[in-house]
Amino acid sequence: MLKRVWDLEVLMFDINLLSKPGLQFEDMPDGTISFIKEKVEIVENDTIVKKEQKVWEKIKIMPTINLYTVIFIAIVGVIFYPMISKNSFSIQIQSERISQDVVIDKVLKVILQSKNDYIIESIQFFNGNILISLTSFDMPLMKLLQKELDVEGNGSVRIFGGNNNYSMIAKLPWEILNNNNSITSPETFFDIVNIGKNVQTIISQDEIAMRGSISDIITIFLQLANAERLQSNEMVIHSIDADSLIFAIKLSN
Amino acid sequence: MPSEGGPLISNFGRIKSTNDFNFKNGNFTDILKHILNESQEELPRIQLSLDYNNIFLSQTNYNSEDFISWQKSQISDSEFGTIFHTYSFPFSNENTLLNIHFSKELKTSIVNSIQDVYGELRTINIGIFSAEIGARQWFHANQLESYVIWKLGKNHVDQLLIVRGGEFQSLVTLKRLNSSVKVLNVIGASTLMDKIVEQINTWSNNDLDEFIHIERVFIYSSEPNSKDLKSVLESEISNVILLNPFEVLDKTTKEKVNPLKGATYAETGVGFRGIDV
Repeated sequence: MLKRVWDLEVLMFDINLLSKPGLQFEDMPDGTISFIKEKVEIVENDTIVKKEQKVWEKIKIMPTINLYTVIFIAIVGVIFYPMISKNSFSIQIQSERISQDVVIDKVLKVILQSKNDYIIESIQFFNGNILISLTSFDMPLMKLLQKELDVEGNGSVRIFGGNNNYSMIAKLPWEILNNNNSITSPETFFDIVNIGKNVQTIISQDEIAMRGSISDIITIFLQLANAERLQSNEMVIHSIDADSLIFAIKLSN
Repeated sequence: MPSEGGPLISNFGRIKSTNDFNFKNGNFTDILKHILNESQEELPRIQLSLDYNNIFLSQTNYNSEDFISWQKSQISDSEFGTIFHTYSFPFSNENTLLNIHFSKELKTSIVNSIQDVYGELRTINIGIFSAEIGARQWFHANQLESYVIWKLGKNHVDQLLIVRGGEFQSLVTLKRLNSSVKVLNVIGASTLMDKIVEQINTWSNNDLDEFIHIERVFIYSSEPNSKDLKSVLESEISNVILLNPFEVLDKTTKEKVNPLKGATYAETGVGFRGIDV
């Protein structure tokens, strides 16, 4: 009997308009939005300040010998920092970095979902980082995106604004590979990519800029990914309107 | 609040909003502050049930992403997607979808208000769907083979939510006229709906002892002192039950709640989702 009751419950619509719009599934995560934490954080910050004050008071009464020890450790740290940073620290950071496939997947999702929910101000692919800038008047959506894009968990996604006009800036790790595979000329680019007849193209000395629908631009993006050239050159994506994007690839010298 | 005997109602009531009240102009914050002052909750966790008037409903008869996209382009202009979120719920046969269109601006205003009071918003549900959760949690409607939630509305415009075999069958909007019942809108199947509407018509002619084809009818109105609700109850239809949460829930106060007044709280059902009553 219990099983029957459970079955009946899951067959009814479980409406929660806080969840992500679109087709709703039984196992969709709930969309709880909490601002309780932020309030608590203020309290926690007060505690931290008080703790810091106590520590500082303790430092003040440290014996002189301990102060010398601290100075000695600091000097040793400065002298050996270059060696330490080249060895253990850099290895640790590399190991924590997420794979470029995950980053590509995140960026693709940002482009795909942009049609109705937010505007892509820019997505810039530089050596070191992808910088994503979005605007929307939908704060819950921005919060969801923030969670989605904060892949490293270091808070490198920020939301600004108010009065139903919000901006988001996100930074994802990215590496431009220097492996002689760079796209140096339009000919090389068009050997790899078939842009389709509906895409407008402007070619300049150092850049190929294309304007097309979201699906056209994603097709170009995926062709570059399949040819393993996505990490060959610097690129930029902008929104023009709800249906079209500009995609520019900087030619290497 | 939780207790050994199940949930305990510590406070309840109505708040009179200002005449110019509108979610979109941010007045919801004042209402929330008022509620929180009354309830003395330090960590406010909120479940919201919106009136049906705050959303639009539609139905898609074919469950396919391509078709939905095509249909969307046919029935709405390009601005629609920038103004509304659309949530689509598959019916049990998975071929038909119930679509709920919810204003993005309204959602943002609600979330901003929750932020203003440092609260936590857990759910946004919709009137009669929330009442249906109440029927399951308070009156164990999920153990019935079939049931209807009947909301008596203003100006004799009612809503019916029909459930059979644990599955949502249809949502009906109807208007009771002097000598007949006019169906204004149907989402879902119409088979069972036709029979129930016919029986409501029979009741309006003072000639119904029991709803047949349906095991139980849970009835409520959000209007205080609804004459129509009183009239249905006085008809003593054998399988009609007033959806009054206070009949099954304990309170911290000894205040007695008039059953008709109690039924105006039927749409608080979503707050009891997942709670053993």
